[in-house]
Amino acid sequence: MQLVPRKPFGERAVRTLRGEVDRLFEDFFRMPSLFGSNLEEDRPFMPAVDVCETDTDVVVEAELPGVDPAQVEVNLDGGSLVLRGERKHEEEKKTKNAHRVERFFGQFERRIGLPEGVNPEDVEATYKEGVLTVRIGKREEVKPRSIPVKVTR
Amino acid sequence: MINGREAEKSPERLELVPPVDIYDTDEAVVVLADLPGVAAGNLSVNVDRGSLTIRGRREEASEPGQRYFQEFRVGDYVRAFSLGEDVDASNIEAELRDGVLRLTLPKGPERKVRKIQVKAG
Repeated sequence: MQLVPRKPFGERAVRTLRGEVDRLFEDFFRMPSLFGSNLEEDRPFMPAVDVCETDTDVVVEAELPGVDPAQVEVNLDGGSLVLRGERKHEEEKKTKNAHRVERFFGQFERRIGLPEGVNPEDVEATYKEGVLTVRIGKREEVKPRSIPVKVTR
Repeated sequence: MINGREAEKSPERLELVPPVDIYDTDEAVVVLADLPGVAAGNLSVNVDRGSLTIRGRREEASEPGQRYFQEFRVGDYVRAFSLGEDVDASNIEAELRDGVLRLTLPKGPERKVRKIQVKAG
């Protein structure tokens, strides 16, 4: 199923109730299986992703708080960047009484189409403050170049 | 600039509601909040009159390039909770790691589960 990027609702003045509703909608679109989910099991989820492009790189960032970076697969596959892994609970979950569980856990996968001209040999992934950042360099020939204009008179 | 005054009001920041898990142990209430992209220096945890407020500031991304796919929201994560009377507010511990905030709120003496000696008569 092709996932269409959802424009954020984007209002400036967000009150708590509205923030909750926004988040409900976003969670709705990010969950791949809406039916038959067992509330006691972890549901697969899709982390939010930002992609931006500079003259020299394509940078993909994914929100993955509390994930062990060693457990995340980052692959370049036919023009797409694939992020795959699993978010595990902190160990203590089973021994405690839960009042509220809102965070997503379990398997995740996102496949992000990349523009042409990226160099699969030049990829760097870092993880900081719960955000995974993948920087992919562009091949020389697609970097914008300034072309001098020769004048003949 | 309005009437010669400096109108230095920053634009209102989007407020986001972070998802939380709340657990109960014998000794404490544990709150876990997802705050991706928040540095420790941008996080505040305040207790005021029985209300606990978490506020984490998420900065604009540093990449100056053209953004063509955006699902992140930039703003402040804010969430508030009412604390029961049994929580010992002066001993709250907070730890931020990999975008997850863990708050440990010790329960006051009355709520701890105590073993009661049964005297054999």
